[in-house]
Amino acid sequence: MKDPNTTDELREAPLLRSLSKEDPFVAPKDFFEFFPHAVQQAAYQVDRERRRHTPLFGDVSPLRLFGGAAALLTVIIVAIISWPSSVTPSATTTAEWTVDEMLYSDIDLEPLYAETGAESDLMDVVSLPEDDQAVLAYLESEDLPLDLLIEEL
Amino acid sequence: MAELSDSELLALFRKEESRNYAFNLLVRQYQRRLYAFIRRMVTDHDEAKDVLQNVFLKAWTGLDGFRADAQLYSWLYRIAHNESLNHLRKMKRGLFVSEASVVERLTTTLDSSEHFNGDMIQRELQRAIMRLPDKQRAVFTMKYFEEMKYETMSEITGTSVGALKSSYHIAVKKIEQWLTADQTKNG
Repeated sequence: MKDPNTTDELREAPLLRSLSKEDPFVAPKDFFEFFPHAVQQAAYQVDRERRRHTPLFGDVSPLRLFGGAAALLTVIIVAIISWPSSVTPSATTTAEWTVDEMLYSDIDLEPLYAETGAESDLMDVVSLPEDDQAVLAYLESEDLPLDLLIEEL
Repeated sequence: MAELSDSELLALFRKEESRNYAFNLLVRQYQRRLYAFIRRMVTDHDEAKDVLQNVFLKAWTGLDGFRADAQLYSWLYRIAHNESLNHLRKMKRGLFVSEASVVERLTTTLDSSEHFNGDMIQRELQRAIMRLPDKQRAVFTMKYFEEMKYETMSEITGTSVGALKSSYHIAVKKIEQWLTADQTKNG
């Protein structure tokens, strides 16, 4: 790092050039022995302070934190609104259902038939005979698509 | 103990298990050279100690981001340079005094210091150096005592090589003039 041309710049300063460059400043005895320990302790202290003052969300700016909280709140609200309810729907709600929706839901249809009147005709309960031959006779008499039923089975 | 290279020190520092050991080595390796520079800038030992500690604490927190293509010593020296200038600025602000008063205070510190081994002419030289403006004093110290290259000084101070050469040239002329005047006065 030393520059070999240094002395040339002192050509016009003979007095300065003649002086010893020995460092006249001295440190107290053993200063350099103990100083590294003192610095290390101070460094630990700095680390401890930094950890103590680091907030839960670190370097996140308050604006971003607010935005994140607002987004989270929105998600929670949407989730609550759209969560499927376990409460049996009222007749008013179910009145707008299609027949298929009613069939595949696990609600008790009997009270609904009473309320929806005309729709109940579609939902007549068929009681099938227990005998196989009787079943076949019934299916034929009703003119049901047997080939489709067999395929399903 | 043999000095470790910058890359060896950095490699040790970046491992969690040897981080403290590496930092201790780094302090031991550079403390004397940095102390010498800071002491010449602020004169008083206790103040130099505080500034030196701040330098190493900044190194402790900033060493993770240190670029390996730069020299560790130049980087530490730059911190020491900035910290010394900041310290002198704070001293002036804190005391609400003029540049001349600060020079007076530094001179008094020098005269009363038990940690100054120089003879009469050395004392006069130090007094003359203290009369230089802070930045010029830093330039003079780096060039005259440390015999540092202008390129390295430029890296440390953030000033162009041309400006540094000019600043050093002016500082040398001033100091020679003051020393000569003192010699004449003292017979």
